[in-house]
Amino acid sequence: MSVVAGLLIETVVGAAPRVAARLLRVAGLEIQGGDGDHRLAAVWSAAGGSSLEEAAQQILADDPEVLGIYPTFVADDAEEGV
Amino acid sequence: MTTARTKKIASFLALLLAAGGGAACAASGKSPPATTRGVHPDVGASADTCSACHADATPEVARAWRNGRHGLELVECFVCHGSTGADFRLQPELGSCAGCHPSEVRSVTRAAGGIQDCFSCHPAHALRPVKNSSPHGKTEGGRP
Amino acid sequence: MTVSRRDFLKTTAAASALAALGSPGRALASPAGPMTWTKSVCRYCGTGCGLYVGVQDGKVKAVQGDRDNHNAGFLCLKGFLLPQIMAAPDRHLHPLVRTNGKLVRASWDEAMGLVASRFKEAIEKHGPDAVGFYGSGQGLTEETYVANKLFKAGLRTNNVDGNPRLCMASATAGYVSTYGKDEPMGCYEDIDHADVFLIVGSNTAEAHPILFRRIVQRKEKGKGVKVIVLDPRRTPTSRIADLHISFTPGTDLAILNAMANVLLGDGLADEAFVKGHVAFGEGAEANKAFEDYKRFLAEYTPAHAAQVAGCNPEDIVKAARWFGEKGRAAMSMWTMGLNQRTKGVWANNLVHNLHLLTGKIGLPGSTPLSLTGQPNACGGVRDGGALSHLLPYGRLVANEKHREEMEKLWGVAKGTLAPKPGLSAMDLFRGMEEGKLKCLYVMCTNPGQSLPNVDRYRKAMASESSFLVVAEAYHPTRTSELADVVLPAALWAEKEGVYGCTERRYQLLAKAVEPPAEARTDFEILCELARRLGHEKLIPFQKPEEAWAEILTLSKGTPYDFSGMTRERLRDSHGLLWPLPAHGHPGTKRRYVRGEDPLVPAAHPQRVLFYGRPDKRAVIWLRPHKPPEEVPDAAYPMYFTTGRVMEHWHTGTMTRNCRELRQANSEAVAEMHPADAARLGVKSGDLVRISSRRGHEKFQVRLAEGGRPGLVFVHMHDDQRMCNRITIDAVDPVSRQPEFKICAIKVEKA
Repeated sequence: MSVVAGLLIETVVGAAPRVAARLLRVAGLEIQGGDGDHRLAAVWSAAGGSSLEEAAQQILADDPEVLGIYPTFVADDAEEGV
Repeated sequence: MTTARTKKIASFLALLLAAGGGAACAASGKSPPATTRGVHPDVGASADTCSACHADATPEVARAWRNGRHGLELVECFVCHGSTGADFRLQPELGSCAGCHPSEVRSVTRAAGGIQDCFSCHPAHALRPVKNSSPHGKTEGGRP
Repeated sequence: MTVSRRDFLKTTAAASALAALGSPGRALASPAGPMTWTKSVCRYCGTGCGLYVGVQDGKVKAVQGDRDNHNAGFLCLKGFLLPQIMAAPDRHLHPLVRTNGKLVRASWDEAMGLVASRFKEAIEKHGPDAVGFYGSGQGLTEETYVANKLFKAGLRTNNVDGNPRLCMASATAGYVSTYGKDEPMGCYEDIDHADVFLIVGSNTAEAHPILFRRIVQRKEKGKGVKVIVLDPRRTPTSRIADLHISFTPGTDLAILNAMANVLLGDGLADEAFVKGHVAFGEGAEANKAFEDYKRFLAEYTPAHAAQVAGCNPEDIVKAARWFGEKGRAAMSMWTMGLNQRTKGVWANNLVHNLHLLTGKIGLPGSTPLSLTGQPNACGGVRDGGALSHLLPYGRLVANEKHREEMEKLWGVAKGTLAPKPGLSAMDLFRGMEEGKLKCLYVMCTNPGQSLPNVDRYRKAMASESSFLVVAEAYHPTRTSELADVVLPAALWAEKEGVYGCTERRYQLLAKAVEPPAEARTDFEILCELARRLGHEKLIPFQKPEEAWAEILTLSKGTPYDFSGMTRERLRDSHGLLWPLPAHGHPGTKRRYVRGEDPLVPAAHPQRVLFYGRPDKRAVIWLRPHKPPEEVPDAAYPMYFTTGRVMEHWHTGTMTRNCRELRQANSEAVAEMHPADAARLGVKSGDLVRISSRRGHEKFQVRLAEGGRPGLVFVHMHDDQRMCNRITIDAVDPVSRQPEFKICAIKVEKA
């Protein structure tokens, strides 16, 4: 696992709690908080950028209540060559 | 960071920014608006309660609260939001929830990298628990 | 512990995402230093919620509900905000003595020296009954015990009473007259089994919120659970009512009798139960028969009662049928609506009658549960016998055998205890007014705001001829401002002791922090007073737990018997229900019930045994409807009633110190029905002048859709706009409890 990203997830108004409950099952995704209405904050750890991409696309495709996933921070945690 | 990795991450960013375009215009390329800290007028409310004024000022919020369990059991606005004027908190603190729901709060905050607040799953004001998978596990008693 | 790069990145990622939400984005609040948690009980109402007090740097910073106690970790908003009462700006820190008309700071030695000498002087010149003690249902059991023992056995006066006289005396006299002994026989767990709730004269949602919560839960979980609310006003409690009956204030006696009439008529009486367990009585004699009761009830048809009460007869029938339906558990709950009445004892009797007639008593979910107002009215004052006619644990001043028992237990000479009951609350203050009572010690209560017809008694308290000592955690209060000596008392988390709440649950409050400045615990203050008055042999205690050890011995062999409730047991537990007569005993959920109550022989042939009375029966009392002391007339055409709101407690000295609560409902307003407002030509926010034959006060109007036309409600928590300027000080002839709930007023635009 080498990519860490901070994400803001926008949902349909009022859907954030339901979406969060569904997102609990997503491996590597940790919900950090929300406004209780249409936004969630999360941290995502994945093996690499492409698996993040694929997973994000999957969520957007599968969950009609998710409107957007915005990164607020992205970093590669393996850069020290560990 | 290698060039290859940087490229990959950049493409990830680009992809994510475009992802929501199909669903609603709210998603594509828009950055989330800055939210204000939240300030409450310094009203002299001593002859009244928050809910009386907010029934007119913020009717949906007042209704969501009143129709939920916290409204029925009179867990009033200031329990989560503090008082008026400078004492107002737009975003409730976890301590407010933990006062009555300590093991639920513990069950999600103590877990490594756990959920950091309740409102991810509990809609504001109505606070009705979302039925699906509960992260709370078996809530235990014991000392704080 | 090193933070890995991964953790660092995740924290940063989280912070950035949260910042985008608008959250502060900082790591979850972890306090500056370690927080220690001490097990305790809420300072406020008689629900007695368990909680932990969180202390950091020697200060109370937080509370958390005790999940292992009956409240399952929940607290109402008042309990939740308790930390703010501790470091309040009006905490009383140093003794004050009135000198040349002004209260000036004095040393403890000076203040206590003065108190002792004035009490001694009064006793020497005028006899022991020239002094008195007015205590509180908020005092810890050990504190109240020291006062009771000192005054009754040391000073030899029975002028020991307390503010439970203003709230629970009618419930006490109701239980005693019906069952022979005080205190409910059921418990909170009965809520989880009830099918029908009869809530009468109680705004449970605002006054006992955590019990209301439990009722709401039961309504959700149970099948076909019905809630009946009897109250002239529709309050937040009525939100869960399946049937709300509004009626003219004071006419609930007629409704309750009519319900019994319907139960009989519909064949819902349990004749076998009545035959085996019930006696019938009128006045003060249990010398009637079932036939007399049936004849008595004949006039209380639903139609007649509805006419008297101003409600629908069909609703009375429905309420009775729901209550009486065979096979369904019925639980009633009430507080001040029934107790604060000149017919308070009778009203209590009539509720018990419904349970006795149907046999719905002593079964899970079937019980009459009087809700207590204060956190320790039961444990400290009622059970401890700190009222003017009582001795500890069910004993009576007027009973020679009881006096002898106590004299032996207390190690004093036979004949030490005075044989006549002393002055009860209102009479203590009337004694001050007359000049008969020279010295009064007031502990942990605020009669200068809470007495009915308060201006009359404020004059008495302020007069030169009376010496008033007030031990208080706050100053000024409407009482301490009138005192000759104001002693700084420790508050709640600053002291250790036992509270006993509504359901016979005794629990230990552990000390969590030190009292500020020169404040001392009431226990220490009273022990020192005892020493200065020459009674250190009677009051030798150094610590509250020593008093508790003695208290255990007094309860032994009585119907309260909690001699198994050692300090260790209390420390380890989350409350224990008495009787608990032996060390291993688990406590008693349901009294009088075979198999649950250790005082009922295991081999007893019937499921209940009302051992409180010599005939082993409970009494159905024939109580007619009689009106309140003062009803509206041409000069004073509206009803006035008083009560409580969610945000505040008692006289507000604690709750008004909480920021959030100061800004919510702290000002007393006149709640009236829109029809009355229209008639008076006033709207919400207008000022009105409300007057009674006794006094007047000005309040802002608030329209209440749930109000009853012709009735104005004002809460008691405001120290400036005092409803008690208006209330009547007429009392129930047996319980001596005042009729705070009903008097006549006129309302004018101010």
